[in-house]
Amino acid sequence: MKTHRKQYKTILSLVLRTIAVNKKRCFLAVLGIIIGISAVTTMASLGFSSQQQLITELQKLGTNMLIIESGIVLPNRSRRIIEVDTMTEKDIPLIKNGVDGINAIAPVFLRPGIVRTEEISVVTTSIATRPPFMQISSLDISEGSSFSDEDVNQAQPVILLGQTVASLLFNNTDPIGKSVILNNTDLKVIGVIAEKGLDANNEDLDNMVIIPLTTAQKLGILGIKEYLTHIYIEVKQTEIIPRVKEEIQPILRASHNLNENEPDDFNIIDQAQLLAAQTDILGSVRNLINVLAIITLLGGGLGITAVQLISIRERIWEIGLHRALGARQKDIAFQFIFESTILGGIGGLVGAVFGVIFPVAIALAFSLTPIIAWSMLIISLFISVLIGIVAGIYPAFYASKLNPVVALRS
Amino acid sequence: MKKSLLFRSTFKHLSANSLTTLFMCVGIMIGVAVLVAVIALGRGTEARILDRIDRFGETDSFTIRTVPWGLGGGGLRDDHGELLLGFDHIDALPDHIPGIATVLPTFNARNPVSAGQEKLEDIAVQGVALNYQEVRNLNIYSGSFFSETDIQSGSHSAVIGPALANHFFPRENPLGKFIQVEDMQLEVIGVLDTRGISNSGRNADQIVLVPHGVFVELFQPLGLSTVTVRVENPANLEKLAAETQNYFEEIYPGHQIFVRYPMATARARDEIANTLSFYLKIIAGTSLLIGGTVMMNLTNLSISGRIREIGLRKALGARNKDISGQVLAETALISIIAGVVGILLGYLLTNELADRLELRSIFSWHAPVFGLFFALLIGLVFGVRPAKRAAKLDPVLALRGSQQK
Repeated sequence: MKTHRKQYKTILSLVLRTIAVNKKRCFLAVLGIIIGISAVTTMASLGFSSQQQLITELQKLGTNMLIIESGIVLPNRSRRIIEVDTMTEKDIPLIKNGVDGINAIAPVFLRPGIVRTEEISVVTTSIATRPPFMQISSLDISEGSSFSDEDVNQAQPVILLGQTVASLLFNNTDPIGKSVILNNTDLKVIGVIAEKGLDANNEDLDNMVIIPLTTAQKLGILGIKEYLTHIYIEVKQTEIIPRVKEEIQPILRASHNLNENEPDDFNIIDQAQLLAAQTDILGSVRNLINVLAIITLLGGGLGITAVQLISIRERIWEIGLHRALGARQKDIAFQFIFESTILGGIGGLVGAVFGVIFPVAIALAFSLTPIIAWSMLIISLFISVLIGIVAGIYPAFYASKLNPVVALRS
Repeated sequence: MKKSLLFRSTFKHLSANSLTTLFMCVGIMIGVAVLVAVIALGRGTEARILDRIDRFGETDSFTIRTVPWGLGGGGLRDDHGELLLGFDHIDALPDHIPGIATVLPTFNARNPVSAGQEKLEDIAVQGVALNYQEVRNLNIYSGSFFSETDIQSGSHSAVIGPALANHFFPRENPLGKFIQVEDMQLEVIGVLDTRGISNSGRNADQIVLVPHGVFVELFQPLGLSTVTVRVENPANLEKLAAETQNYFEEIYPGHQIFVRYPMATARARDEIANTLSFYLKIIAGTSLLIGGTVMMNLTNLSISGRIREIGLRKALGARNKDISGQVLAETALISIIAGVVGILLGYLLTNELADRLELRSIFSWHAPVFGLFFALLIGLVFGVRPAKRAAKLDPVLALRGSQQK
């Protein structure tokens, strides 16, 4: 037992000395492993960060938006046909408190309207709502400002104009502070909404005006009563949309006092086409990340193996010398396995550290969300170390069986 | 040493050390193949994603109108004294502005539509040309789009949105049924796939499409109300929209032409394109790094393994120049051969993976040429130092053994 331990100690110190003497060869072997692990992990991690960035960019188009439309839906899945007046602002806190994962929620009363100055009138979509609507619909203000809470609470007669309306009514002059007439009510323009262009159906997204819901109710603009035509909702992630839709349904049915035989008097709409596009896009990216990981792992793995095999061939002479000096086959095999385990371990550890540092540093430098592909880190770590050890074991067996004379002659 | 001698000794060395040469070749091949495959798959995925956005968001087309959006339904009649676009100018557009792929002249109206007792107000009715389906990326849910004969003869037929189909013909097959616009009966020959609701709350599924001729019969428009223009490269959308506007304002002096496009979606597309090209650069850089490391290691090893041989050559009278020349020639030869094989390998690998995993791939000459160049460069750069070192060795020391460092 004692002699065994001593032998191991000898072999270990031999290995350490070999490494110290062959600094360059060992450095190259370790470098291969380090680069293999850190590169594969960096690639996958930044893939995930880019994917996250794509999700954020698609969100601006409304992937995480749900619209509840008031109205009875016929059983054949048609959209709203009969308008009803059951949906009110009372439903807002019920949904907000009753369903998890809702970022923002806004009541909406939407009607075609005519907005005009003394000279010109424009047929437009008029929307009466509360401030969260701007965030949910990704609307920015290009001139002036949006409603303040005060405007809403005090039902101030203020209005935001879409770009189309602003340019038709005021040509190229500054509309801020001017007054317009919406359905016979004077309103002061406080802001212009940044241009959005057409939507996928060639509808003009800039042909709209927005007023506070309270103002519309108080002044009776749009013939508004208490009820809402829509509720706009922003959810935290697109993945939870089906659940959110499912949970909203019973809440609204209870709130609207519907009995079992009555159909829903509302319709929850998601951005089906956009969501399908997002699923497709993210799927492609995920596929790409996986395939690239496979290719680079394979390529890197084969590369490291080739390097190891060449470097071992060069050491046949050294093995022969050891054998001639009395080392047994077992000792040679142990020596090589120890050596490659140590190198593989060092390379793996350093590679793992870089595999965490690189993606985080690059992501931060390009203002992406840093995400680390832990699974890839572990897989590449495992594979690199495995290759290191296997590439060490095979030649060790091969070399240990050699006749010392033959080996020395090479 | 003469040139022919250099080549001969290079080849002789390579074949004599066949196993080392083989490994070195394999290493370089793998490096280049990985680079080719990674770039082709990356570019393919980028193109696929951007296509998907263009298909969804119509970010490849802009719309021209003679009446600003917000005034009337698109200028059916010459009420405001505005100009109406003529067919001749529209058809000539692709010749005048390079980058425009197709033009789609469309008539628009909003009109009541009925079927039997059911009637819906304010429904979008569009008079369309044959290429409407292709340009607007419309999918047909059931039935078919208009045939060439339908469009040319102006047959009284209609393709309707799913919301109308559900409303007018619940639990029935709408194909072959009739809807009525003004006094005209139109046979439903197709139902569009759902497009959902727009951010403005408009339902895009409430739409009736009729052939151009039928629309003229119905509404007697004085000219086209809307022209949709599809561009070849969506990245140029904004620029081409502006050029088109200038072009028409020169043709019709004194008139305003209104050009709009899906700006929010186009901007999101630009951002997505940026994100993807960033990621492409990362993966190209990473695979270069992996391939480069492998190649560097191999070159280094193959040279340090031959110090004894170099000593022998020097002892036999080879000059330093000859030695380094030989080492470099070897490296270059291996790099080129392995690089070419690597390109082929990468090509095959990519096709196989793309087929199996339903990925798209786009090969460009950049990747292989760059890969080859890179292989050569790595070989030479990392060959020069050991070659010089080998050349400077004292023949006696070098001859004594390959173990000396």
